Amino acid sequence: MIRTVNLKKLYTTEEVETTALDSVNIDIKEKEFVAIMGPSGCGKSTLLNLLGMLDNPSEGEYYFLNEEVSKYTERQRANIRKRNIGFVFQSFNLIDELTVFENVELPLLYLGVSASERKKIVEEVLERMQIMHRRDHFPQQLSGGQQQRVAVSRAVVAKPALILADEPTGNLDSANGEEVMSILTQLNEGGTTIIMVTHSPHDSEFAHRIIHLFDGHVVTENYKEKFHV
Amino acid sequence: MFSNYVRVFYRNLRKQKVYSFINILGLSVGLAVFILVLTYFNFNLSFDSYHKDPERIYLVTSENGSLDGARQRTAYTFLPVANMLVQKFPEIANATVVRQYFRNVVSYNDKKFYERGILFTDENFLKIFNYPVVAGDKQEPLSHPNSAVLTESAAKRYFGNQDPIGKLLKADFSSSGLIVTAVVGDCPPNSVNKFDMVVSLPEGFNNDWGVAGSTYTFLKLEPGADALALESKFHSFVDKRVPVLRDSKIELSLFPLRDIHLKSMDINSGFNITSSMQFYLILAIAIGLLIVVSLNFMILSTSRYTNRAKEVGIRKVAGAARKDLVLQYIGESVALALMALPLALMLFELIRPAFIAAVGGGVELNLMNDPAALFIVLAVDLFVGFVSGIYPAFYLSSFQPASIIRVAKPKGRGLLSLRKVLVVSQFALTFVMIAATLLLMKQLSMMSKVYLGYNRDNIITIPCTFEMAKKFDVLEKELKTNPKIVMVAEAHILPFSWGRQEKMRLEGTGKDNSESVFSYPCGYNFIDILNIKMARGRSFSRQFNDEKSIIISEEAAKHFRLDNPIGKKIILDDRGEVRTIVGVAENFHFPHVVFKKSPAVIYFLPSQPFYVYVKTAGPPDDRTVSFVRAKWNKVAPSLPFDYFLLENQFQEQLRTSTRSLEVFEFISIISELIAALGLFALASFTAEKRTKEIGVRKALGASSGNITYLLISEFLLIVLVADLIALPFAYYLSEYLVNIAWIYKTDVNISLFLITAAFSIVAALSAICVQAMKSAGANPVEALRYE
Repeated sequence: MIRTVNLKKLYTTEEVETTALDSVNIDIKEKEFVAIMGPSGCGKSTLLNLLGMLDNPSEGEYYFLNEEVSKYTERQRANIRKRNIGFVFQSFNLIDELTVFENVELPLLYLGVSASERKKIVEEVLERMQIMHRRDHFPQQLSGGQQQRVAVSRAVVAKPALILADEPTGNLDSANGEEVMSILTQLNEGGTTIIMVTHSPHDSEFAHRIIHLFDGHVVTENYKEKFHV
Repeated sequence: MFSNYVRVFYRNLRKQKVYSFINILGLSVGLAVFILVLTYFNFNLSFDSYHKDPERIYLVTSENGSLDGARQRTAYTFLPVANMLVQKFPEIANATVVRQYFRNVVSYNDKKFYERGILFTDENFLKIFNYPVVAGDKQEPLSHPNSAVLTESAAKRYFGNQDPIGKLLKADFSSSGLIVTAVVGDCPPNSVNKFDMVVSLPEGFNNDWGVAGSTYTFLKLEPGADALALESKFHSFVDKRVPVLRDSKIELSLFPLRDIHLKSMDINSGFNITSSMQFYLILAIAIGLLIVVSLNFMILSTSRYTNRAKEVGIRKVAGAARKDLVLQYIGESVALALMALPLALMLFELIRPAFIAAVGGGVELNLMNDPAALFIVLAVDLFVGFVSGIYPAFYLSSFQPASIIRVAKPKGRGLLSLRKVLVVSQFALTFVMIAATLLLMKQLSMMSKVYLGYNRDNIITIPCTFEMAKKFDVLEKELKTNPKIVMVAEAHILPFSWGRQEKMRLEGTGKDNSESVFSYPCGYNFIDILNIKMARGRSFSRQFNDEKSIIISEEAAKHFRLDNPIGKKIILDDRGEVRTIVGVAENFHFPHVVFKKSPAVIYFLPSQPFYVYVKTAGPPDDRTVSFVRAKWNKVAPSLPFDYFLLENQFQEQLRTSTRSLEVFEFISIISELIAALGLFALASFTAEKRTKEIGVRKALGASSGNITYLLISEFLLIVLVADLIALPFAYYLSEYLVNIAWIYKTDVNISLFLITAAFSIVAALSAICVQAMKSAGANPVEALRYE
């Protein structure tokens, strides 16, 4: 599903050039659950953003569903993104001015899904995530765990093939964290590919494979036995 | 999708109530003032448009040389000119003459009024001009001598609810009285030649070359006739066929009726005209205000948008394309601007009466009857909304979603610098506007005090008719019994009005040398009561027989090239008189202070007073006025007693002729307030952005004073930069304003700009101080936690 060849990302300011990622070659297959780990500043989130096409790499190739997308324009990337990728962030990133329902509905709006269809899909997802009773609340009125369930609902509502999660439990207590991980696992079992950046060794246990990054390089990749393609 | 945009828009509006309110209010105020000026502009442009085919109606003007060499154009011609032209030139469909008398007493039973708005004219008047007859003879109400057509208001004044048709009015100019033959609707306020009463000219009058004075000639051309081509034929026609005009070297020309109101400032007339310069100044400053308001709107909008960078990121992650976001944010900006419109319309209604009073009344401002203005206002509003949304929309939507999402608070540096540029522009513009306003105020103050060669203090002025001439001596004697009354004089004019222009020349020169000179007939004591100083010779006096005497100004003496004028004789061609110069007056400026000073003569003509001047020792009190009233009613019971103070009238006339400038002041002050509002918003925004920095600085030991200084100094710098940028523009504009318009010029000096700068600094300080002190006074822990 995903293949990168010598992926590199430089951040340049007026005086300093920082290499966030260098020569990253990874291969992720469909239905895989991959955890990316490493110390702060090693380039985990940068890699996730490149894989999610939120940003373009400075060098290297990126094949998404066998398509080389590293030189794509923002419009082309947006087009691929909205059809194939869902995002879950550590800080939830919900729009404060929108209700739970409206936040979850957002990707469907940009996909041009009709209002009746949207209502049906969103309610189904909210039911599944057990957050239906909060559908008309605003994000500030919810607990952290509830907010993250809304964020996961939004990530899955358009039925993407890939979910990218950046420290999805980072802002949650252990009970809520556990719940989110179990949701991600269920999604993966349902066929969704998941790539998750995490600091937590516990969370990484849910993944089939762990990619370790250090100073922008992939240092090790550990496969777990339970996943066989 | 649309409903999603509307919901987000509405919720953001509610969340940022203060910003939204300031933003909408600022734009509303600007739009309301713009609507006022626009409707005022259109009102002034609409003068006499209500007549049928107004573009085919022309005024015939006369132009001849004057003593100081300048060509002088007047709106007056001779009575027979209309008939001669219509008979000779087939391009002229119709012609009418209109004579306007200065003041007459008209009465019906016990109701007696001074009428200042009587027009003497012929039956063509109502065919050329569109005043629909509402009662009486609709065909030819002016075809018989002594017929009078009244406006509805005048009819009501004389007859109340009675039917006025066929009633007989008494008038001091008609022994047989006037028969009311018709009533027409009141003249619309956008008329250059308003009247209360139209009276038919006496028969045979149309052939009288002796009557020049205040005769207007109007022509209505045939459809498609070329006015310029017609005008070019006038010269040879006059040369061959009209010896009276040829000998007086008078050239006839045409002036479009529709242009009289705004473009005839240099034509001597009694029309209701406006200085187009002031008029365009107001339009310019209203556009200035609109720019300030738009900048303000943009500054506040960009502040609002920066807080929404996260939303942009999330929307992008959720699949929004750039065009979706651009549309959303421009749409929001346009919607916000549209919300200002109803409020602007309400404000317009609210401030309209004050505005009308400020411009001196007699103005009709109605937006709903003015689809063009309505369209312009809507277009301007949409444009402001669109332009304000366009930069933030494109700027925000250009962010990589990753950078917005990862950094919880976006840098927004681009928007902040844009905002600084906007604030600098806004303050620079208001600096120029305030400087121009202060300059105009200074100019007005100077003109109200400038010495014009005569004294207007403590003079009670009572309008009268020629009837007073026979009673003046008695009145003077009666009034002088009061020791508070110093002097009583007979006057033909107010010393700040256009005089007559009469053709005159030195004895011994041919008629070819006759030039037009401003002339002021007067009675006894006129020169002394105004304290006009004599440079040589004497003033008029009862000790001499002055019926054939004349006094000329020093300027006139210079133009006549007379080294020793006393005893020399001047021929007044229009009057067919020879008068002897008995005195040379030090230069006095009689046309109003806003008009240019010209050579002038004063001659003795006690039989035609229009005013009696009563000079008191010190300002006149109520008892003195009552005394004058009692004596007046005793000596001249047939003349209504009405009075004003000469100085007050001078100031009033100055205010009237410069009344538009009050609007100018009003608009400038509004602009400064709105600019300050914009700064307030920017200060709040910056304080919010720098909360963390403030917290760190305080944690490291900065005092509240240090922080307040830090925040204030940044903004003061912006304002000072704006002032410096604006300074050369303000200087050149001030020089330009002073030089284009005024005879007496105030000086443009540094103090003007220092006051302006102080004004902008005070406005800026009051806008940012509260916010700066609030931020500086906050607990540092809160600031750090907030971040």
